[in-house]
This record gives sequence, structure tokens and C-alpha cells, in this order.
Amino acid sequence: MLLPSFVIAQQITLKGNVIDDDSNESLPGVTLLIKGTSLGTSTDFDGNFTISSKVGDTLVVSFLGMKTQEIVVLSSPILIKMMEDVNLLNEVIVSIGYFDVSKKDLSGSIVQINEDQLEKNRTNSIENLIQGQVSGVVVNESSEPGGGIGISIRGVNSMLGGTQPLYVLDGVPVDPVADAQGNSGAGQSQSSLGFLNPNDIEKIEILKDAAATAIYGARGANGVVLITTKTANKAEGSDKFSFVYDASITKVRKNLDVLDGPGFERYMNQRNINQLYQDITNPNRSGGPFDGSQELTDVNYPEILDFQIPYPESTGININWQDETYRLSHSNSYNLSYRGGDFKRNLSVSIGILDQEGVIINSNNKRITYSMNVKRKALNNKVDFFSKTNISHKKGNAASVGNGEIFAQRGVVSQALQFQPIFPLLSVGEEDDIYAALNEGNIVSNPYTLAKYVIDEKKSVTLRQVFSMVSKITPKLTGTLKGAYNFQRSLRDNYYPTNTTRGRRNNGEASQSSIENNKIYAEANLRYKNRFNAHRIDAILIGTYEKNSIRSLFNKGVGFGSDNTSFYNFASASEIFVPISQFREVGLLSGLFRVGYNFKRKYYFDFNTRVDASSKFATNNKSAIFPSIALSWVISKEKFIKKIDEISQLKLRFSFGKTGSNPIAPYQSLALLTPIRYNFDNNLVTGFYESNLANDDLSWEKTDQFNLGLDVSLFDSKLNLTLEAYHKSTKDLLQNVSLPVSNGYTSRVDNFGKVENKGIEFSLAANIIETANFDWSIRANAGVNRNKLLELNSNLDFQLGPSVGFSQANPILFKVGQPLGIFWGAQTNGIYRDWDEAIASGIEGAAPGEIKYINNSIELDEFGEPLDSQQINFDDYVKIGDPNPDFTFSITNDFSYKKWDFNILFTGQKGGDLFWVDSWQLSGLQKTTNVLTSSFNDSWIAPLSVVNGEVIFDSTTGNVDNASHPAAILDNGPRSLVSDRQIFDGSFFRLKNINIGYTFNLSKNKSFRLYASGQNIAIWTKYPGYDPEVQTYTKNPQKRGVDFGTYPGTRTYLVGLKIMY
Amino acid sequence: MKKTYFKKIKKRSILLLCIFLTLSSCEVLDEESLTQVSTEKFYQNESDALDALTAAYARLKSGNGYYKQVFLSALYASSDQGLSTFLFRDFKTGTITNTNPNLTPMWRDIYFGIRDANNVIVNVGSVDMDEQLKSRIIGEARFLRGLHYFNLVRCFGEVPLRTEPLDPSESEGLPVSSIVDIYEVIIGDLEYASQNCWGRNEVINNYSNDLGRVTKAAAHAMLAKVYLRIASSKRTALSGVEGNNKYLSFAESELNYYQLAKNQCDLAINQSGFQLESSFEGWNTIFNPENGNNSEMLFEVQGSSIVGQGTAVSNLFTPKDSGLSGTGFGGSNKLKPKFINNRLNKNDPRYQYTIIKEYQNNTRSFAINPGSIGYVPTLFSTGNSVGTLWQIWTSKYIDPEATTEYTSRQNWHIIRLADVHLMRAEAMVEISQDPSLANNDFNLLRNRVQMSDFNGGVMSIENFRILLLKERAVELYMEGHRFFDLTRMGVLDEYCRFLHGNTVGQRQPEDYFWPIPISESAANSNID
Repeated sequence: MLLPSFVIAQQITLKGNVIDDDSNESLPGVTLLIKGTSLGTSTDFDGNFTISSKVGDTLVVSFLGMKTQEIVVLSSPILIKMMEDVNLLNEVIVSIGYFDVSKKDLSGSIVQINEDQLEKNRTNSIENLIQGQVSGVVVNESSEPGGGIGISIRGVNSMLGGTQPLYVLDGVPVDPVADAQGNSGAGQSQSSLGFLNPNDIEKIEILKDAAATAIYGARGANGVVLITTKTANKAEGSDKFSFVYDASITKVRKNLDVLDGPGFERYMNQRNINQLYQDITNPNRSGGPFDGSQELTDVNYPEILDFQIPYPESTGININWQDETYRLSHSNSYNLSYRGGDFKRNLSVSIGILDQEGVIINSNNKRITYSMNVKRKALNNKVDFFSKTNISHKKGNAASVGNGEIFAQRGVVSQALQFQPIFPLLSVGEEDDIYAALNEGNIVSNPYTLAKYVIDEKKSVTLRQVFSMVSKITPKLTGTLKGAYNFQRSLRDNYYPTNTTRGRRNNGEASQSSIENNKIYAEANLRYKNRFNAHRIDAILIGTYEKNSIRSLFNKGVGFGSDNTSFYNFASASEIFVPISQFREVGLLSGLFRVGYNFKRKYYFDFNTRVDASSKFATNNKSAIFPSIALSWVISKEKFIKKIDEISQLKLRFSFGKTGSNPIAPYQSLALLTPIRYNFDNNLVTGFYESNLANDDLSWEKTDQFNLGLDVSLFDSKLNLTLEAYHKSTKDLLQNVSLPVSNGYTSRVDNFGKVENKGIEFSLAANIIETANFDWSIRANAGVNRNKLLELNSNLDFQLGPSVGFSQANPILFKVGQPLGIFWGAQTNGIYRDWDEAIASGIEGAAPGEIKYINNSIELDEFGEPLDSQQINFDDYVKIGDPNPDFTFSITNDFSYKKWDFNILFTGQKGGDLFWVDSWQLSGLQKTTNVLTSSFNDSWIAPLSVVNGEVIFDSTTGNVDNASHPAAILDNGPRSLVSDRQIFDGSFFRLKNINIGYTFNLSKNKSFRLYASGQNIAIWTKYPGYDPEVQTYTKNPQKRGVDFGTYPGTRTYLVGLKIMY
Repeated sequence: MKKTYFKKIKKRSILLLCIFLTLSSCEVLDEESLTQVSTEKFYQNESDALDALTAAYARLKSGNGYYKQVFLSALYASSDQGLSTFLFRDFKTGTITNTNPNLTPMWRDIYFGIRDANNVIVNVGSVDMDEQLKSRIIGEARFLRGLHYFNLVRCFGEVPLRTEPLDPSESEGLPVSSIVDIYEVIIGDLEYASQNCWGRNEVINNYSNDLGRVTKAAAHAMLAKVYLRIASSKRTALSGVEGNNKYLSFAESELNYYQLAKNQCDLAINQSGFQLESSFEGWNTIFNPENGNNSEMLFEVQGSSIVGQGTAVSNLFTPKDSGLSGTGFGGSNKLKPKFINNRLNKNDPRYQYTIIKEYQNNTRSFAINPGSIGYVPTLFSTGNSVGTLWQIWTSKYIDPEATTEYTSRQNWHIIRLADVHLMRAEAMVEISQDPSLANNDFNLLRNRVQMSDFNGGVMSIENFRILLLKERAVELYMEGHRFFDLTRMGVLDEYCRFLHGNTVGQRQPEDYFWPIPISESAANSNID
């Protein structure tokens, strides 16, 4: 509105009232400013204001969360209606937990992964979406359909506490999908978020520092992942349909090179030849040793009479068990969604179907997900109602991947590598006792049989309903009530038919297990936002209530005789074990007060305190207080920086806070009795024994974290850098403290010890080229974390980790001054070349072709003289590896050219040692199972050969001097010690994801996109196993870096289309 | 105290929280296990006392065996009887280190048993109940504790000696005690048991001492075994056997211990309720699976066909797929011909009638060879017999009705009356240095199986000791006594080398004990 310029400016006293356009309520605290001057005022409690101005002045009216208006002063009084600002000035809105803030106002370390980034990564699990997107976040790989994936944020700071972050979905903490048998090994753990469809995700926020995670206090110590599902808030009145279809093929990235049929026969023959050589050259041999100068006849050496090689002629059989067991797998996923309405009332519905095959035959995962989000502004727009519903059903077969605790029940993957290539597949009706001959007399199933016939069916049903009510009590005070119900039921049913190792042993073995979790969640919060001139306050008070009721049941029966009814019917079992049932109730009460203050959006101060009380701890230790503070300074708003045009933003952040952890089972602080059965002369009796040692001091595990962050935006925000440094110190670690067994208890859950994690994170986002037709941007992340165990129990400086592998070795150690969970074992130094060298070592079991262990601790007799016979035992062990990576990094390049988009993601890691359990056999050449070709080729080989049945010595043959692997031999020495031979460097550089798409824009809001993508296309690593990122115990912080017959790494090619209509 | 101040704050903060979320919700923080019983509410009455005792018994067979299956196989592999599985190779060769994976499960089960027994011994005393029953319950628990420590001291030597329940606030481990101190506890326990346990099947005040429970006779017999071990170990230590050096610390002379052993044997044999089968036919049933707890068996770990109560002993000692032990891998504990030919009289019916003479699996039948030291297999498909399997299976543990590996009805015989007679014979001979004093007891056992009389009058004491080992071998082979007999007689390394040859580690004369497992020493700052 223009006024004639000749109108003389007339001084008036302007009075007015400001109301909310939606609710017609008065708005207190609205800022009014006369443009171009410093004159201003704000509304009083009833929304009234008075200001002296001139007619024709422009009044700037602003209020947080409302659209700022400019009004030309004409007359008094006036009524000003403020409108809600839906887009909040195009600022990035970040959810920090119970509420959202503008990214500009962040003081904590929070990283957002937005829809765009999520869209490009066509994967079936949420965890994979996070991979390579955020610095300091390490996501393990899993190729198993629906299998568990481990995530660690800023290192590992807990033993029992797990490494897994707290997942919060649409504001309600998630209870990860549990395995019904409570296992965490390969083929046993399940994806924590397996009930969620990645296509339904709008954004993911990762909270890393204490300022951010302290909002979740008690459970924030491992970081928090906030997941927000898509709504139709931005539908703006239109109806939008989208349909997405993905089809993919997956295969094992590489087969490991194990011996083929003829090679294996050579290996078997060599065992006997090496044995003969070792026997006849033995200095203790009665009749004297062979030293090359004697004539090698059966008269001189009667050993030759008994000598024969097992395969003088080839069997002609050559089966590649990896080929038999692995397949090219096909997967399809379909997603249909509708979103419509406006921001006052809208509806979003989506249905997803996933049908995924695993690369191991018979392994698969099927999932149906349904989600519905509804919003309605009701009661004169005063109250917003939200309802969010997720339902999912999942079903899959795991194909016996896990290595069973029974020594002969190797898992499919271990068996695919070790099973003898000279055994044929069985024809119908053929018994597998032909396999016994080369398996220590045990009938061992071949991997194909295991994969094909063992049933390991996992199902889960999840129902989540969140209902919330948000009401503007006054314009500055918002109240929220939220209630949620979460039902989750997981089932796992097994059957080992009589043609498998374990089934044969028990004449058919079946189990049914189930676990059910009913969770009720309630939350009330009040949020107060106000602004006094340049001071802004944002305060919130929250109370939450959470209760989980968990029940589980495990049934097992054996002795079926016939496999006909599988696990379905226990009536035909000859023995049904006592069912194991568990009922658990866990409660958590929390209160949170948070106040955020800033001055001119330049200086920020956040204070946060949370009280948590958990039922899991001892009576007097149930509650704990978790405070945090954060300060930040937007330096770029200072005058001296403002002048520099290149700098768009410069922000320094500091935070300190305490967080906690309580992921232990309930009832650990109580002294409890457990029933046990016995019989007297066939009369059953039940007794009770004290199974749990009381712990009156059991309390929270607490982490103190400092964070220093610097955000730099340069060149019109085209280049964005973030640098963070942090120091985390976790004390009162919750752990299964090993007790001396002679006390009568092996362990108890207790607070002990201290762990430190410190690190630096770096992330960069740059728009390198931005033209009308061509865009190129780069995002890069890197994280360095150093982990150290500072204290253990008061009187011990190390603690053994859990046993790993069939031999129940304890390769993992927790030692003060070292990173958590280092590998501990014997050092080796090649292979003994001959008897002289072996005997000189003085070590028991030393012989030519055996592993040279280093005797770090010499055993002495009572006079201090070394014993003649030295042993390699625990005293000789040293640190042989560290599973914690030195640093991790990722680089994403995004290109778009006209309607083409192209995206490529690399991830990498330096360090992070792996303990490869299968290498014991594959490179140890201990048994009559298959071995790696390279290991046999580099093994110790005696200078003997057999020609036409005749034994010939030729010192120029064999491989005595340069062997890096021990001899294939019948009576081998100690080769099952944990040693550096099983430790491998896990460094890698991986082409993780590549994605290309083309979009046809049909008309407004209607489009059609075609795309293709590849995952794990290439990897550069020295790790000899399948994949350095695929680990067995993904979620167990006590068994990190272990590869024990893990589902092999895979490569996936995918094509898909997306129709938006 | 600063700490209590914080606790106050904490309590207040909970209260505030509860008010905030309405008071009733605070109940959500109370914790009570639904599936387990709180210790505070236990040890109140007679039934609690019996239940606690049952748990102490049940510990004997955790995992379907005697301390799982590991203990029997480890004892077997450590002796000179024959083949065992490669899993126990280090026990055979005498190269056991503290990281051996078999040590921990045994150690754990034994100490769990001690824990459960300690809980009964300490807590039942204050329960208001029938006094005679109370003494019996404590007596049974003390027998079990004595047995656990006896097993420990024989296998590991010096070990931590815990005789009271653990105070949760003092969870540090104990240092090892001398074997003299350990034996003192064992003897005290067994003496108490021998005075307070009841007779076989005895009924007092309407309470019945069920078959399978500890009896006075079992306690006396076990006490005899303890004294005999001390006596013979000290005797051999004095004659230079290094492995028994620790027994030199016993103050009294070995003769006194032999005398104590003899007295306890008399007391055990004279208890009513137990008696030897006198006829050959009778003797021939004592190892039948349905004849558990027969009148010769002083104490047995109980097997049963009740669900979950079967044992695995059949499977440990019986060929696979032969229908004699259920399914499973079958046993790896087999007699070696060298043992049969040299260490016992293989013509003795106690050998001939307790071995499997023929069996068959899916593809072959096996028949014993003429020397009774192997089997000749015949293929069903061709009818051809090729070669001989040089090993012998015992029939002491077969159960044809077992359906799976863990469903055998066979009990594990911890001590039986025949052993007491052999012990008495040994003690009497050693006391008087007169081998003819063994005649009565030896011949009691020999005559019932129609063996000719033994006459000790014609031999030297050294020869008697060799013969004694042979007599014990033929009567008790594969019953878990051999390793202990070889160590206390000071011949372990000699006998084992004779059978196994100079194996890799070469069993040394001092290798009489197994090392304390790393799982203990790593967590116990008082043990290195």
C-alpha cells in the first residue's frame, strides 16, 4: 500500500492487540519493531501493546513459530492476526528428542540423515541406511536376510551395556526385536528394527554427544537414534500416491579358495608322508634317526612297511561345497503409499512387502509392514491429535548358520569351507555315514544337508500404536500428552531332522520358543517458549512412564523317530524337556527439565537435567540424576567475522553431560533360588539352589562426556565443515564380573571399572558444482576413536572374556590399560624346520612342521633353573590383536545432470583386528577336513616323495625352510592354542553403494523414476575370510571382532522404479 | 557422609517423580521375581530344608553325568585303561595346562556342589523341624561336601577351602589350603555323616531314608577310602614317589591311617541293609540298568527313565548305533588290549561277563575275537569280515531302553561294597605286612564269581601290591577308581607309559595333579 508522499508524518500512539489466527487467542510476548529504528515493544499477557509511531511507519511483528509480518501503520487501534509458520523460515528442523528445534539453534552434536540421502540407498534395513552417513558411527555389515546388525557410536563404552544405541521411533523408545531364544550369534540375532520399512522413514537423527543424549539420560550412553516416519504434513491439500518396486539379485562376493578334490587328496597323502619323515628323523628313534645319509629301505626303517598313502589313486570326486550351498538369490520389494490432506488434517498410509532370499540355500526373510499416520487439528484448532500405527509381520528361515555348541554341529558356513571335497552329495536314501571315515568316526552332515533340512524358522509380529495430543495452552505454552502401546511377539522354531548331525544324535530334535513383550508408555510434557527482545527461552518439563512385561517360553523335545511332523507336534517325542518359562517386568520412571536460552541467536546456553528410576537396580540405587549443559557461540554473528564474506557461519559448541545405561536383565540385585530336579530311586524330587548372589549396590552405569564442536560454513554455505572432539569416560561399568568359581558363583552383575573413549570426528559437505543442468556434491566423514580400559575390579588387572569357538578357548581379554576386548594368545614365529630346532626350543610338543610358539615365560624349577620341558601356557600369552578400528571413513559423491542422478558411496576402515575361528582348521592343517589352498601350498612339506609306492628322499624337494603354515600330519602337536595365527587385519576400503536414476517428470507432483544400484561392488582388503565387516556376534560387546562361520559377505545388484502420482 | 546425603537427594527425586506421575505409578519400580524364590523367604521349614538338600544332590549329575560327562572321561583318559577321545588327549599325555577347556566345567560343578552343600549345612541348623531328620539332612550335605573336596584334593591337590556360604559383600576368592587342612574338613564331614545319616531305607519318625540317599554305610566306606588314600600316598611318598610329596605333611604314620581305614571298612561292612550278592547269578545282575540302588551299591548318582533324569553314562561307554545306549555319538572310552592282557586277569568272569561280546550297528555286526581283546566286524551287505577292531567295550553301563544320548537309566556307581572289601584287604595287609590277610576279603569276591582262591601267603608285599592293583582292576575297571589307584600307589607314570608309550608330552612322575583352571586363577587374586 503506497501513500502519497506529501502526507505529513503524523505522530500517533499506536495501540493494538495480537491474536493467534488459528485459535483467536491473545498472544503475549510478541515482538513489535518499527522498521529501520531501534524502537520496539512486546505484547503483554493479554496480547495488548502500545507504541508511539508515525503514520506510514512499517511495523515488524514477529513471534517464534509464527510468520513474521510487516504492517504499515495507518490508524490505531489495530488487530494483528499471526499465522503459524509451517516451514519455519525454511530452516532445517532437527528433532532432538521430545521436541524439534531449528538446526541453527543446536548446541549438541546431532546429525540428520534426510529423506534425500535415505532415498538413494536402496536397502532393506534401517541400520544399513545409517552406514557411511555419519562420522563416528560404525555399522557392521550383515548379509543375512533379517539378520542382526551392530551399531556403535563413538566407540564401545560398556561390557554388559551393549554397544547398541537407543532407538526412538516417533518419540517413543523402541524395544529391539528380540530373538526368541535370546541368542546373539550369527544366524541368531535379529535386526533390531526389523519391523520397520525403510521406505516409510522420513528422516533419521543421530545424537552423539551428552548434550544431545542426556535428554534420554539413563539410556543415552551409547548414543540415540531418532527415527521419524513419513507423514502427510506437507501434502498441501493434494492426494499423492507412490509406488516403489525394487528387484535385486545377490550373490556371495567371493568363494574362499579351499582345496579341490585332487588337491585334498594330495593333502591327505602328505599327512602320511610328513608323518613318516617326522618319525624316521626323530632323534629318539630306536635304531637312530634318518639324517639323509642312510639308505631309505624298509630293512633300515621298518616304519616304511606300515606306510601307505591313503589316495594313491584319485577318487575322481570333486565337489565344491561352497557352490552347492550358496546360490544367486532373488529379492523383491513392493511399497505402496498414499499421503493426502493438509496440515490441519491429513492421512498417510503405506504398505510394504518384502520377499528376500538369502545366498545360502533355504534362507529367506519375508516381511509385510503397514503404517498409518493421521493428524487432525481439532477443537477450534486448539488441539492437535496424532495417531501413528505400525504393524509388521516377519517370517524367515535362517538355514542353520550358527555354529552350535555341540562340537560336531558346525554351522553351514564353517562346514561349506571345511567339508571334504571328495565326498559326493547324497543321493536319495543314501546314508551319510560314509562321511564318518574322515570325521573322527562321527557322522557329520554336509553343508548342503544342513542348509537344506535344518529348520530354523523365525517369526515376529510387531504392533505399535502411538497416540498424542498437543495443545497450545497459551501461545507460549504447549502441552503434550502421549500414550503408546507396543506389542511384540517373536517366535523361533527349530527342527533338526534325523539326517543331520544333531538330529541323528538325538533322533530328531525340535524346539519351539517364543517371547512376548507388552509395553506401555506414557508421557506428559509442557513446553514454554518466549522471547524478550533479544533473549529467547525454550523450556520443557517432561515426565515419562514405561513398563515392559516380558514373557518367554522354550520347549524342546527329542527322539521323534520320524521327521514327518517336524517341530509342529511334540506328541511323538520320546522325551520332552521341562519347559523353560520366564516372566519379567521392568519399569522406568523419568522426569526431565530442560531450558534453552539464547541471546540474539548468537550465544546459546542449554541446561538439562533428567531423573531416571529403574526397577532393575538395588532398592536404594534405583534412581540417578543425569545433567548436562551446552554452550555455543555463533562467532559469525560477531562484527569482526561478519565482514568476511567467505564465512557464512562459524559456530563453536561445547557440551558436558552425564548419561547412563541399564540394559541388564531384571532381578540381578536379588538373592534368588532356582528349582532343579533330581530323583531318588526313580522318584522325582525338586529342590532349590541359590543361583543369584545378592548385590545391594547394583546401580547405573554412568558416562561423562565432553564435546567440543566447530561448525564452519563457507562460500554461501556451499562448503560445510564440522569438527568434533570428545572425551567419554564411563564408570561403574555394568558387567558380569567373574568371581572365583571356588566362591560358588561364576559371575554376578556388578558395577566395576572404568572405560575411556576419546576421539575426533570430521565431516564435510560441499556443493562443488551447482549449475542449471549439473550438480556435484561431496559428503565425507571420518572418525577416530581411542578406547581404553582404565580400571577393572579393585584387585584384578585383567578379566577373561567369554569362550569363543569349539575348543572353548578364551581369546578375548579385558585388561587395564588396553582397549576393551583385545585378543590375547600365544605369539608364533613360523614353523620348526627340523628336529634340531624343535628340540633346542625345549618346548613340549615341538617337532619339525609344528608351530613355533614363543615361550615368553620360562618355567623354572625350585632352584631357579629353567625346566627341561617348557610349556606354552597362559603365562606366555601376549596381546595379539585389537578389534577396535583405528579410524573409519566414508565418502559420498552425488551428481545430477538434467534428469539423471548418480550417487556413489565409499566406506573404509583402518585397523580393527578380526579373530577368524575357522582359520584354526583352515590354516592349521590339523584334521582330515578341508583347508585353504594357500595354507597348504605354504605349509611345511617333508623332503620325501612317493613314486610308484616307493619312498624317495631328496633334500631339494619339500618345503622345510620357508613354511608359513604347519605340516599336514597325522599326530600333530599343539595347534589349538589361541595364537596370532587366527588374528587378521580388518582394514578395508569398500565401494559400498552406487546408485543411478532417471526421473521423468510427468506433470506437477507426478513423476516416474527408474534407477539401478549396486551394493558392495568391490572391496579392497587383506582379510582372508569372507568379509572383514561381517561379524558373528554383532551385538555382543564382549565378543567383538569374531568371525565364526558368519554369513558370507555378498554383492547385490538392484533395479527399481518409483511412481509418484 | 556425603554418600548418604546423595541418597537422600535421590530418594527425594524419586518421590518428586512419583508425585509428578501420580503416586501409584511408583510401584512400577518395585522388583519381585515371578519365576524364582527369594532367598530371604527360604529355609523356613522342613520342606525347604529337604528342597535345599535335593539341590545339593542334583548338582552331582548336572548335565546328565557325574559333574557333567567331563569328569568320568577325564578320569578315564588320565588312567591306563585304554582309548579315550581326542578331547581328553592332554589328560592322556599328562600335558594339561590351566587353559584346558575340560578343567573349568569340572571345577565349576564341584564348587557349585560345595556351595549348595554349604547352604544346607549352615542354614538348616536353625530350621524348626524334627531333630533327627535335621541331623540326617545336614549329615547328607556334609557327606556330599566331603565327597566334592575329596574329588578336588585327589585331582587338583591344594585348592581353596570354602566351608561357609559366600557373604555377598565379600566376594574375593580364598587362597588354596594345604591338603592336610582339606583332608581335615573331609574327614570331619564324613565322620559327621557316618554318625547322623540313616541306614538304607531306614524309617524314623515316619520319615523314610529313600534309596539313593547317603547312608551311614556309605559314609563309613567313603571315610575308609579317604584314610586309605592318605595311608598309601604317604607310604609311596616316603619311598620316593614325587607326585605324592604333599602327603608327607601328614603328621601321623601311614600305619595309623591304614588302621583307621580298616576300622571304617569294618563299620561299613557291618552296617545292615547292604550286602554282597553271594551267587554268580546274583552278582551277574548288579550292573543291570533296572537294578540301580541294589544292595551292593553304597552310593550312586541316580539315573532314571523319568524325563530329564536319564544319565549319559551309557553313551560314554557303549558303541554307537548298537541299540545299547540310545542314539548319540557313542562312547570313546574303550579298553585297550595291552591293558586287558597285562593289567587284569582276562579269564576272570568279572571281566568276561561285564564286556560286550557282540553287537551290531546299521551296517556291520561285531563279534569278540578269541583272545577277548577285540572285535571282528562283518559287513551285512557282503558277509565279509575284514580285520579286527582292537578295543573292548564294557557292558557295565548298557541300557537298551535308552532312546537318546541322555536317557540312560544307569546310575553312576561312586562306591560299592566290593570296593570296601578290597580296601579292607589292602589295609590289613599293609598293617601287618602279611599278604595272606587279604585272603578272606579277596576270596569273598572271587568265590561268588566261581574264581579259584587267592592265597597271599606265598608272596612278597611288593608282589601283593601288584596283584592288588590287578584285583582292583578286574573288579572295578571303568568305574572311575583307576586313576586314583595309580596315583596313590605311586605308579601312574610307569603304568601310563607302559600303555600309551612315550606320548608327546611324556607323563612326568610329578604330574599327579591337574592345574587349577585359568577361570579360577584369573578371577582370584589370591591364586596365581
